[in-house]
Amino acid sequence: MNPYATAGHPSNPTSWSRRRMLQSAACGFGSMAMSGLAQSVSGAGVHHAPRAKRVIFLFMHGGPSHVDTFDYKPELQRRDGEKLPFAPAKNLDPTAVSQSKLMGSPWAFSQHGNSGLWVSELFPEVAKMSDDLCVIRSMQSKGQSHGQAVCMLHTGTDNFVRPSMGSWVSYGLGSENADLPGFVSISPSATHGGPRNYGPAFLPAAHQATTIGRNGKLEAAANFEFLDSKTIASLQGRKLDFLQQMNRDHLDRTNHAPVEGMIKSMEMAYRMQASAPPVIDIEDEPAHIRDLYGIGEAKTDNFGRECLMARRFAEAGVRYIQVSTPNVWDQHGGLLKGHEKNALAVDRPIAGLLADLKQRGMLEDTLVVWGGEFGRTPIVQGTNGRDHNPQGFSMWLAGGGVKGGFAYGETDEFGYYAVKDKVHMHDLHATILHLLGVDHTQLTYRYAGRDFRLTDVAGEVVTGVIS
Amino acid sequence: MRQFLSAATLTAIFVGQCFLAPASADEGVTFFEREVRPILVSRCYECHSEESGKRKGGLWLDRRAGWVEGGDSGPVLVAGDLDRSKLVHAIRYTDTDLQMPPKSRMSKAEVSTLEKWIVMGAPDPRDQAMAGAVRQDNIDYDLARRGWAFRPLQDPAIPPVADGEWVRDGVDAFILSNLESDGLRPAADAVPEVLLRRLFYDLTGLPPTIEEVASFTADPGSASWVRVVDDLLARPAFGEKWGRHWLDVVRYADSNGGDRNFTFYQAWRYRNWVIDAMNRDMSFYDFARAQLAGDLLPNLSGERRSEALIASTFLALGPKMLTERDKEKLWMDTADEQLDTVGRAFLGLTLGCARCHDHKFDPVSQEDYYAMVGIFRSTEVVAGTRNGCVNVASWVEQVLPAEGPEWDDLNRKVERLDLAMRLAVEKTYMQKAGGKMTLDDLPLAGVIYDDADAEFVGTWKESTFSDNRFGAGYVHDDKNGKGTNRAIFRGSLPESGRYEVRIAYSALPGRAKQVPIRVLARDGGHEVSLDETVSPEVGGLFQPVGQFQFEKGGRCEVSVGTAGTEGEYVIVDAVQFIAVKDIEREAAAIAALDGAEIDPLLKMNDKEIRKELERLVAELKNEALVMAPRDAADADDCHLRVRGEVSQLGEKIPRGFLKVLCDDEAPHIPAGASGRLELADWMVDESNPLLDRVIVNRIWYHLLGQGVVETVDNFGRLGSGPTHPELLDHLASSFRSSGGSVKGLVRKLVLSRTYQLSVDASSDLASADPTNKSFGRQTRRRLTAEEIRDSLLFLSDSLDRTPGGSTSNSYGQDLDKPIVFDDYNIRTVYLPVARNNLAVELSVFDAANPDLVSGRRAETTVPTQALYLLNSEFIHERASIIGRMALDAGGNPGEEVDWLYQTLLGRAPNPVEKQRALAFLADLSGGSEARDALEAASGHLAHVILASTEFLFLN
Repeated sequence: MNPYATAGHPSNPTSWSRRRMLQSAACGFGSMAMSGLAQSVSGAGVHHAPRAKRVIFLFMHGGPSHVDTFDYKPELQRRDGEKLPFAPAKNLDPTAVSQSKLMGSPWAFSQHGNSGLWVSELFPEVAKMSDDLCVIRSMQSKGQSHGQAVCMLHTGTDNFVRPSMGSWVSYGLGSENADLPGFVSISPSATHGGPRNYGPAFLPAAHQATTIGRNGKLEAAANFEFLDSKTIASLQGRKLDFLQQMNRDHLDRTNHAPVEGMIKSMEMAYRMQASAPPVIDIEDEPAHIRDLYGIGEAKTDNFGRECLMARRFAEAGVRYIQVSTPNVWDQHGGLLKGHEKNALAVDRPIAGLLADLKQRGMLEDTLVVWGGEFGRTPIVQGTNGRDHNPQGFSMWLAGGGVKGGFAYGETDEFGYYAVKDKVHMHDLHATILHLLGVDHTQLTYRYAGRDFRLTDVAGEVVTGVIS
Repeated sequence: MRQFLSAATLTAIFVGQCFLAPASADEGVTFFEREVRPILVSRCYECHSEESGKRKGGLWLDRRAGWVEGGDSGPVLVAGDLDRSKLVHAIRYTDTDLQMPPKSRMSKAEVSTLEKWIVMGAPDPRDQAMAGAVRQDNIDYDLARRGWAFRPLQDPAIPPVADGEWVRDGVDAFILSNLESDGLRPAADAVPEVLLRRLFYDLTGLPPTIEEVASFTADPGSASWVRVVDDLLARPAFGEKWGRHWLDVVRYADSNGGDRNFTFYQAWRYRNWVIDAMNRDMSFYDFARAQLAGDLLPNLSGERRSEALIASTFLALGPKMLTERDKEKLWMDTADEQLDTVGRAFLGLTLGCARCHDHKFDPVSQEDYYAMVGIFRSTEVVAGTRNGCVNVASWVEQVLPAEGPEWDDLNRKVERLDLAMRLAVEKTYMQKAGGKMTLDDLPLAGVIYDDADAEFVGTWKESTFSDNRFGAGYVHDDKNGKGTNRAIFRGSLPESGRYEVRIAYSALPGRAKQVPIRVLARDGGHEVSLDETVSPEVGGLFQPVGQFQFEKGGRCEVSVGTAGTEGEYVIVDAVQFIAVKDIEREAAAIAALDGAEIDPLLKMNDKEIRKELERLVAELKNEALVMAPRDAADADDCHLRVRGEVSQLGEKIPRGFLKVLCDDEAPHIPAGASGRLELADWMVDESNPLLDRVIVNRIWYHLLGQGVVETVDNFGRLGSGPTHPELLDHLASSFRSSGGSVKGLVRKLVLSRTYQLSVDASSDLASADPTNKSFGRQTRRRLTAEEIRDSLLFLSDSLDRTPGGSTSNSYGQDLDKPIVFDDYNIRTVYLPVARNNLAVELSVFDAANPDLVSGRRAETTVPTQALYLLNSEFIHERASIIGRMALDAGGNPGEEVDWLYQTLLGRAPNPVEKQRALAFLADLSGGSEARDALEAASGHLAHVILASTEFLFLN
């Protein structure tokens, strides 16, 4: 049978079900590419029963303020305008340091759900999902500037070139779908390290994220690179027949493994041309689902489509999906307008994603992670801004084996330093891997004379958040 | 009226006033047992006790001797002294770098119990001795020096072989002798077409033409082989191919990567220098020396001086976190990146591994690391500010040496850029720090804090009585609260360095004398006093009180007290911090108020300066500048950093080189010099055998497909080790005696029999040595990313052979937007290498990651490659041109097919292939004879051949 003649047009339902059939294949991309270069494959596979099969990471680029969203600080509200009663962190911007003046949140907080979790009025829709959220209020990270902190969040280091978390997951677990990559990044940022944050560094190249969209924007026609053949299917099929015949002859003559790899790779590429577009194409989603994500409304449309696409990738078996906002959360000034606009753009799409995953029974084994590279200072910068605050901030998890309606850890009474049950970024990484069934100390890769891991020499699983 | 007392101050005063007399021994022990021990057990023992088996940071807290001796960073507790007790800072949780217990803060009660205990003199009855506490020097240098990598170079005898006829060069004897002792025969020689194609790609990165193939296959003897080899070695394409190998090693890029992907406008000069050095076969020792210290080499003139300066760009090329706010960390990270690159590129050692602890596997101690990193910490490549944002650093650019008025002009421009950078930072700080200038046009420099920014202890009165003041008003103590009133200015400075501190007050006879000023600088507190009856020196308002060293982001605090000034007014108006290097410039600006000439820059506001800064950067991008290092003004030995943490200072380590490769005597480094020149001389000295071993192995790897040491960047214990140690030393010795001729070694190797073998092995050889460790056959390799693109252009008759210049400059001030090569038909080596953002032509086929030293590229197989080969515009376009060419070259479909196979694959099609191709053409053109249809069909056939594995893999 000629594999190309039957694969058919992208919208052909045959190819769709063929893809579904392949979803159970343990790993496609990963295993093959590893043969290319891997010097050590000590990490591959799960170490214990996973609680989550996949991750959707919603990255709020720029650093949303925790004291204005998920970390309610009555004392900060009360002492608005007073001096911070202890020394501010090192390397803050001089405009923040010189005043060191507390600024209460301009937004009201209230309790939500059965759990009574505190959420500010910036996130009214997400607040409705409170009983599914596991808010970590004692996050700590490294890097007082975006470049460092963004890399820390994505790769576990603030200054070296290391594989990103998604690459580690792809390397460790492969893809659930032979026709799709294990790691997809939707509209990743080109700045603050750009591809370094979804790159494989020294891991095999296959573990780089496949990207769609750019810099927080997902155009309606966005596609994986080179997926569009621009050639009519029958012609391409004919050419591929000829090409693969040549390649097989070449393989017979050489018996060279990479030649065989390329033959398989051609087949997979051809299948991807058919199987990826239906996943990417969200047009066939019913109106009520599109509405759930806020698609079609100007302010939420872009992030809504990104979240919906994330769900579709999750369904199709992609292991690690990242969705990024543009670098908009960085309100050194204009906090009031800025945060309001940013929260509005993501609130409904995120709540929609959680609700949609839940109604499909997917939230159980999909870990959703929300957060930025750091939080923001409780002290004011200028008159209406906040500086970076990696020494204490909030992120939240949902689904995939974590407690719902739960808050873990604390910052001090102003929200400045994490003080109780601190969760360092390394700990979060260890926990995410743990939920995926991977022991972060065992997922290693040998490069330049030593074994590397996502968590370097640190990281402790935060058992307190696991349900 | 201002009255505000911070909690921190309160604690300090409380403790000060209630200083407890040392408790009696019994009382103390009781207090310890009842109050202190339980806290230590529950909050500290988990990580700091023998019982838990953990001694984090080298610290034990389960015995008195534990805290007396302290951890990796020294004693943690000074009995009776809270300020000097690190433990107190740690549990107070106010220092981000040191917070203990790490997971959760102690309660206020717990903190105050421990504080009380320390104030009591820290009575502690736990008298266990320290066990196993002595630090050991685990590295056996003598043993290491006898190992294959570090032992002195000796030229081994050429081994005897049974089949002497087979041997053409010394290297063949080493290969054959090993094979023979394993009872194996090498593969047959490769056939001429294959051999020629291999040689062309290996030496020039391009395929031979039909004519070149025909000419060689007509006469494939050894004389014509030598002729072809020498011809190719002399072509400029040799340097373009071999220069690229070195550019991989030195992580060459045209942009910063890291956090801000600024375009390195001047990096291309280094790239072209490397290509040129390969082409003129510069001695590898001169090549290496110039890269390490080209800016410092003595006795060079004219062109040579320029070239050496360009060569030193090597050190400046690395990716940097330019927005790092902690500049000391930025400098240490930059030095680390340089050292790690130097280690891997020249020595095949992962020196970066010893930043936090002794190397776990190789004879490199943490002291070795800091001895060497001190050299790079004393080298300046990061400086200034790039875009007028104080938190974004720039890099050093120097004017290429020349003479004449144009050169003077350029120098002036660069100086103005430096000044604009300083002013941009200053203005931002002035503005951000609330610098409210009411003295008309008093152009002060540095950072100024007004009394409105200060924190007050006690009662102070606001006043506007004197017009000679800074800002809206000033305050005075109203002759009250003597001894307790204080005004505290907490500062934050844009960069580390030496600053003059000045206090503003309006002088009058009724003011206080002997006003106590306390300055908290990097090295601790300093007490000075001020006479406020004397008119201040600067502008009649600001009085210098001394110069102090401050650290960016570190402690920087000035407090004005009232103790000992009975009966007179203490005035507090403002505090100025001015970098010592700015004093002269400020004085000139102040003098200009009286009509002296002054650079208009000094009169600009912050917006204008930022605009001017950007204008200057843009104006200079195409000028004769070079991105080169220079010795830093503060060149000195550096402190070891405990666990690699920049802020955790250990002892100062004298600068030096790798202990395993030299005698124990530290090199003499002149005062004020970085030591790079000495490092460069040591590096290329013949007493350093690693340099030769590493480079000859790289050359061997590029021609034979794998290294004698497979891990070409790692000659350490976790590397693969050599398959043929004598061969490695034979190559290294002959390289050394050739004076470091790369071309000479390439020539020697391609003339060897070993190079010319077929990739196909006999079944005996293949099964005995499946991975070809014996080099009994050649290694098949895939074309590189550059070879693929260049070949496609070359084969479609479109390759522009002009060397490229500053191609990256046309892509903007950073290289974040997609890098598209479409506008260029020049060789790929000349096109921009954008960190984090490689052009697809590069990234899809495993071009080197320019963040890292990549002596060996990966050869991965991923579907994106297939998608690229099937669907990229570029390949479609090239294929249609080649299709048209085939149509023109062949008189009929048969000749057309022959031409395509010959041109693209360097061989004729066999009959089956030819039949298949003809059927394909007929099928696609649908029997039409129209030129359009024929062209299209021919283009599709060309496309298929170009996408085939036979085209991609080189035999």
